[in-house]
Amino acid sequence: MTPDDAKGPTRRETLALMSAGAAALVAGCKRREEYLVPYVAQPEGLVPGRADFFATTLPLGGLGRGVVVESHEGRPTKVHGNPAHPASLGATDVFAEAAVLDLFDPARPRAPEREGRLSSWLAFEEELARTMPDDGVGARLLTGPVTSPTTARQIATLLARRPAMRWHVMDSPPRALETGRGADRRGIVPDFGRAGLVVSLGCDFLGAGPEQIATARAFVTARTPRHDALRLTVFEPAPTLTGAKADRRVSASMADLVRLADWLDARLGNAEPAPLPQRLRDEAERLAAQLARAGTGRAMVLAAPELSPRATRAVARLNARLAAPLAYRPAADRWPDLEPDGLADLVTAMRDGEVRSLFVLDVDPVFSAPAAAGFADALAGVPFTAQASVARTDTAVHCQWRLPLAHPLEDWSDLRGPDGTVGLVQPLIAPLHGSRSRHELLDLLTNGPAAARPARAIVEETWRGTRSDAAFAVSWIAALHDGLVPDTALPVISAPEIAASDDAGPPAESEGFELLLRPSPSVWMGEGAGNAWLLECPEPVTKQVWGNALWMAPADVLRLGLADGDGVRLATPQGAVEVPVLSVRGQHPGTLSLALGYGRAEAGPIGTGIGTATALLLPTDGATLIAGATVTPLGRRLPVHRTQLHFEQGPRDILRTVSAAEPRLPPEPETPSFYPPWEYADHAWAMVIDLDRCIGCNACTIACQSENNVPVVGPEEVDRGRIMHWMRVDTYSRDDGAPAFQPVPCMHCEKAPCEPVCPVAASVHDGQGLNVQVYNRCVGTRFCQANCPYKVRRFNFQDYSGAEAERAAADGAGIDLLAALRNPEVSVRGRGVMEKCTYCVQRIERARHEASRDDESIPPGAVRTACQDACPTEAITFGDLAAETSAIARLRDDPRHYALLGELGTRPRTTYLARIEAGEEDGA
Amino acid sequence: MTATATEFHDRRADEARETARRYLPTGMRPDRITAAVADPVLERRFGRLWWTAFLVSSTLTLVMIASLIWLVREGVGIWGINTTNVWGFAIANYVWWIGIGNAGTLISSMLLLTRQRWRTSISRFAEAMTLFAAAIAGLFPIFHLGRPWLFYWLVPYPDTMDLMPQWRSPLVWDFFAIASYLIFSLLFWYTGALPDLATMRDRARNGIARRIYGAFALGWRGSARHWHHYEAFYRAMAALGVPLVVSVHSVVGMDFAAGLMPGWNESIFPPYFVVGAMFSGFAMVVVLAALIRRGLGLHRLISLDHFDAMARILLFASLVMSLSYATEWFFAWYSGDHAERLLVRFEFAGLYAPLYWTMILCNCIVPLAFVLRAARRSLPVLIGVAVLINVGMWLERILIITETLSRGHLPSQWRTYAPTIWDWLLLLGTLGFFAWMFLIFVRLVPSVSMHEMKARLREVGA
Repeated sequence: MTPDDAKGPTRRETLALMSAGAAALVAGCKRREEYLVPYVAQPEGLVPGRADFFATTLPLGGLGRGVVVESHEGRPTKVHGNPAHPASLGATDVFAEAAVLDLFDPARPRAPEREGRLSSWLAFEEELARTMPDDGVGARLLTGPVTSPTTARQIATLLARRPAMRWHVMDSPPRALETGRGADRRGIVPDFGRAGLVVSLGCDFLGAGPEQIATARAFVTARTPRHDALRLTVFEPAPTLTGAKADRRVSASMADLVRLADWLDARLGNAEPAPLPQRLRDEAERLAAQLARAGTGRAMVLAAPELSPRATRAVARLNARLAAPLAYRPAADRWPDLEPDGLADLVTAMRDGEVRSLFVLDVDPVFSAPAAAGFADALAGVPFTAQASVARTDTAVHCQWRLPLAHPLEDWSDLRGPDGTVGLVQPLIAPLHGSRSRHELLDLLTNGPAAARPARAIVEETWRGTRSDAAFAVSWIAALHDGLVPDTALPVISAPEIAASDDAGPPAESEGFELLLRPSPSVWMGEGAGNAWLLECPEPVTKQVWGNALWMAPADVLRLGLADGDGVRLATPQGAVEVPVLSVRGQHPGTLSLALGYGRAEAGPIGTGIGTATALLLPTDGATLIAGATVTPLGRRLPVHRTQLHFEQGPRDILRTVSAAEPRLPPEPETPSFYPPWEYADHAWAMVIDLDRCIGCNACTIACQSENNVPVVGPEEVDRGRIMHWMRVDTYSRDDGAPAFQPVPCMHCEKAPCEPVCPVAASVHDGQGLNVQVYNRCVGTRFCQANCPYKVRRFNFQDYSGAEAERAAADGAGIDLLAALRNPEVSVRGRGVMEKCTYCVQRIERARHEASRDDESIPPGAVRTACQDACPTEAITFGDLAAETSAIARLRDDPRHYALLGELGTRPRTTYLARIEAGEEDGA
Repeated sequence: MTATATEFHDRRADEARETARRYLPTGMRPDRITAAVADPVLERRFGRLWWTAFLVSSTLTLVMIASLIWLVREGVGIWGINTTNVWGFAIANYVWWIGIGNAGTLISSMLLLTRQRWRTSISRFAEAMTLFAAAIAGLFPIFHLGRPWLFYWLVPYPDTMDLMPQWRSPLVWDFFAIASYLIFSLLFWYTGALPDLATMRDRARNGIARRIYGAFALGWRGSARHWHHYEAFYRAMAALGVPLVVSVHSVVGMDFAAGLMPGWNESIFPPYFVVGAMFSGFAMVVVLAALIRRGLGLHRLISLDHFDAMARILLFASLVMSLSYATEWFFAWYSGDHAERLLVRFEFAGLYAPLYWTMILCNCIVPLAFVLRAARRSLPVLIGVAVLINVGMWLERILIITETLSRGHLPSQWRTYAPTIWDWLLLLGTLGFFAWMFLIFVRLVPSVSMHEMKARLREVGA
C-alpha cells in the first residue's frame, strides 16, 4: 500500500468525487437503500422541489458579507448576494460562492481528535476541566481579528471569569482600504460619487477582499453616467484589478511610490520637493497638474497599505490638503475595553514556559504567521494545546487536540461587515459532523461543560439586551429574515492624526528586488486552499490555477535568462523558498510579486502542497513588503498551470474599446445568412456584458460553477487544456501592461455554427432563442466545438463525474456529501458529452412555471442568470429582447454595443458594450 | 471504310500493341500467367520473410485492439486532444486512410473507363488496399466519438422518438459517403475477383481450399452468359465508382470546408482533398506493388513501365497539390482576413513550422524527382519517394486540423496539441492491422487479376 492509499483518495480521485453528483447518489435514492424516512410531519412551508432561501453572513478575512443561501430540501446548494447587506448589495465574490463546497468537503474533520486519534468532545471537556485552572493562569486564547459582537462579548466574559487568562490576536495583512497601524487603524471609505479624480499609489481597492463588492459597485456607479466623471490614475508595481480600470496606469516600484508620495506632498504643500528619478518626473508633474485641476474636495489619493508610515502620513496630508472626499471608520475588529495582545507576545510567553494551555480558535498561525517568529517551535513546549477549525489546518497537526468547528453555514453567529454593519449568521443545515459552534467552544472555556448552552442562545443573548422577550422576538425574527441587524454600521470618524514627520528620509535604493506579498484572489490567505473551486479559479492577470508563481517583469526574466515556469530560489533575509516564475507584462522591473495563501501542508487531499508557502519569507513583524529579495535560477522547471496562454489580441477587434470623448462604435452591417430567420414564440433571451463595468473578479465564473454543477478537472487536466468553466473571463493585455477583461459565456448565436454541424441534432435552437445542448442525444463528435469560433463549449474528456465517484462511494469516501451540493435542477453530465452555458435555462423554466400559474408570461427582470446575480458591478444584463421595453433591448441600442466576431455572421445573442478608455488627453 | 478511318484504326492498333508491349507480359502463355499468379497462393510455402512480417503485423494488430479497448474504457481523454484542439490524430488518421483508400477505386474505375490498359496488373491488390484502408478509416470516426457505442444514431432508423440525423451536418454526409464507399469497394473488388476465385477452386488440390474457394466463387463456370452478365455489371459498377470516389473525399473535405474556422472555410477543399487522396493512394500502391512484385515474383506481370506510369501520376498529383497550397496561401492574403493571414504565418513560422516545411518538402519538392525517367524506373527511388509522400500527406492531414484549431479566432483560446502515447499506438496499430490484412490477402487471393490479364493479352493478340 502506498502512502496515498493510507490517506484515502488521491487528489485525482477526490476531484472525481468533487464532481460527482449523479442524482442516484443523493440520499434517499441510493442503490443500497437502508431506511427511507419520509416526512411524517412535513415542515411548515416546505414544498418539495421548491428551493428555500435564507439570509446569513459569510466571513472573509474576519469580515462578514451578507448572503442569501438557496436550500433544496434542507441542502444549501448556492450562495446568492444579500441586497440588504452593505457589503454584498446583492452580489457575491468567489469566496462566498465557494463556501458551499467547503461545507460539504468530505475531508472535513468529523470529530475531535487527540494526538491524531479519534476522540470525543466529552474527553476534551474532561481534560479541559483537569487542566484549566479556575483563574486561567497560563491559559491563552489565540484568535484572528474578532468582528463578531458575540465573540467579543464572550471573550470579555471569559477574561473576566478567568482574570489570569490572556487573549492574543493574530493580525492579517492590511486590507487595501485601511490606514494606520495598531490602535490607530481605521478603514477608509472613499466617496467616489463626489470625486472627479482618484489617484491610487499601489492601492488595489478593486482587488479581492471583503470590501471588493461594495467598493467596486461604488466606483463603477460613479462612472456610469459619464465615464470621465471619475478619472482613475494608478501607479503600481504589479498589474492589479485596479490598474486594469485605470485611465492612466504607470508602472512604479513600491519604493517609487514612497518617493512619489513625498514629492506630491511637498509639491502641493508648496515646499521644495526632493528630486524624483527621471522616469517618474514627467508622470509626477502630470499628476500634480491633474490634482490641481481637479479642485478642492474632488480628488483623492489612496495609498497602498504596505507603504511606510512616512508615506502614509504624506498621503494623509495630501488628502487633507485636497479636502479629499474620504471618510474614515474605526476598524471593525476593535472593541471597547478589550485589548488583545499580539502573536509575538504569545510566542515569547510560550518560549518562556509561561503558557500552560493554548486554545487556537479558527486561525492557522503555523501556516500564515512568519516562520521567523517561531510559533511552531514554541508550541511544542506548551503542555496543553487545542486548535479548533472548520477544515484541517497546518496548526492542527502541531496541537494535541484538533476540534472540528461548525462551518458558517451550520452555525449561529454574528459578524461585522467592513462598515461595521452586523450580519447575522444562521445555520442552513444541522451540523454534518460532530462539530461545535465557536460560541459553544468559548462558552465551554468560560463556564465549563455543566453550563453549556446552544450557540443560538448565546448569540441571542448578545442582541436581547434589556428588551422584553416579546419585543426582542419581533426584531430578532426581522433581523434574521434580513440577515442583518439594522443601524449597526460604525459611525464615521475623523481622519487619523497626522503625526509629525520625524522618521528618516525616503528609503535608500536597496540591493536586490523588492518583494510584495498580497492575499491570493483565489484562495485568499489560505482559507480557500482546500477548496477545488477556488484552486481552479484563474488568477485574473496570469490565469494561473492550482498554485502561485513569482511575478517578474519581462526585462528581469530576460536578464536572468529565465522563462515562464522556470523554478527559482526566492530568498529574503529571513528565508528562501522554491517557486516558479512568470513573466508578467506590467510588472515593474525590480519588483517581485507573490500571492499569499498557497502551499498549505495540511489542506486535505485536494489542496495539500499546492503552490508555494510564504511563511519562510516573512520578517517577524509580518510585513508583506520585503526589500532585498534575491532570485537564483534552480535550473529546473516547476509546475505552473494556466487556463490562458496568449494575452495579445493583435489587430483584432475582440475586446473593443472606445474613447471617453466619443464613446461609440461604427455601426456594423447586417451579415447575410443562408438560412431564414428564426421565429420565436414568446421570448428571445439575450445577454449584454458591459466591458467597462467588468473588473475581472471571477465571481461570475464560480457562481456559474456552483449553479450549473460544473466539474473541477484538476491541474493535470488544466495543463492538457481541458478546463470546464462555462463562463470564462478572457484577459488581454493593454498597451500600458495592465490587463483588460472580457467574460465569455456561450454566445447563443442566432446562426450558431455549432448547430448545423452536429450530426445527431444534439445542438439545437429552441423557441426562445437559446442554443441548447441535449446531453442525452450527444454522441461526442466535438464538431460543434471545433466549429465554435468562441470555443465556449466544454467536453467531458474524462469521467469528471460519475462512475469513478460511484466506485469511491462504495468505500464510504463521503460521496453522499458532495452529491448533496449539486443543484438538483441541473443535470450532471457524463463522460463523452459536450456541455456549455445554458443561460441558466433552469431559472428561465422556474420563472416560466411561476408565471404560468397566473397565466401570464414571464415578467421583465424575473430571470436572472447566476453570473448576472453574482456580478459586483452589474456588468451583466440578461433579459428578453421580445419585451421591447426591457433593459436588454435598450442596451443593444447603445452606441458602444458590439457583437464579438460579429463579422462571422453568427449573430450572437450575447453581446458586449465596448470598454471606454480615456484618450491621451483625457487621461492627462 | 475511308482511308482516314483505316488510318485511325491502324493507329489504334499500333497504340494497343505498343501498350501491350510495355505493360503486358507479351509472349506469356495464358496458362503461364495463371500459374504465375495462382501458384504462389496455392503451392508455394510461406517464406521466412512473410512469417516475420506476419508476426510483426499481428503484434501491431493486437496493439490496435488493446488501444481501442482502453479507449472505450477510459474515454477519448487518453488522447492529447483538448478544449481548443478537440480533434487530433483520430481525424487526421481517418482522412489519411480514406485517402489511401481512394487509389484502388481510382485505378479500377477511372482507368477502366478511360481505357488505361496498364491498370490490369495492379488493379486487384490496389482494390484490396482500398478496401482495407477504407475499413480502417471507418473505425476512426466511430472510435473518436465521446460515446462510440451510440454511433448508430447517425443512421436514419425508425426510433421511438422519431429522431433523424441532422442532415445539414457534414458528418452525416460523411457517414453515408464512407458507408456507401465501403460497400461499393467490397462488391467491386469481390465481383472483380469472381472468375479468379473460380480458377483457384479449379486449381486447388486441397479439398478444404477447393470448397472455400468454391463457395466464394458462387458457382462461376465461365459460361458466355456468365461473362456477359459479368462485363455489364462490372462496367456499371465502375461507372458508379467514379462519382463515389470523388464524393467520398469531397465530403471529407467538406467536414472542414463547411466550418467557419480560418484555414478550413475554403471552397477549394473538396477537389483538393480528392487530389490529395489520389496522391497518397497512388504512393501507397507504388509501395505495395513493389513489395508484391518482389514477394510473389511477378516481375513479368508488374513491369517497370507500370511504375513509370504511376510515377507520372504522382508527379501530376504533386503539382496539383503544390498549386492547391499556393492557392490557399494566396487567398489567405487576398481575403485580407486577419485570422486567415495569421494562420498562414503560423504555418510557416509557428510552432509546427518544421512539420509544415517537411510536408512541403515531401509533397511538393521530392516528387519532382519523377521528372527524370531514371527516377521513375528505379525501384529504390520510387519506394523512397512514395513513402515520403505518404508521410507528407499524413502531415498535411494532421496540420490541417491542428493548425486551424490551435490558432482560432480568439487568442485567449490558443493552445497547442501534443499527441499522447495512445495517439501513436493507435496510428501504429492501424498500420500494423493494414499490413496484417494485406499479408493475409496475398496468401489467399490472387493478387493480380488473371482473367483480365489474359483478356487484355488476347485483345492485342499477342
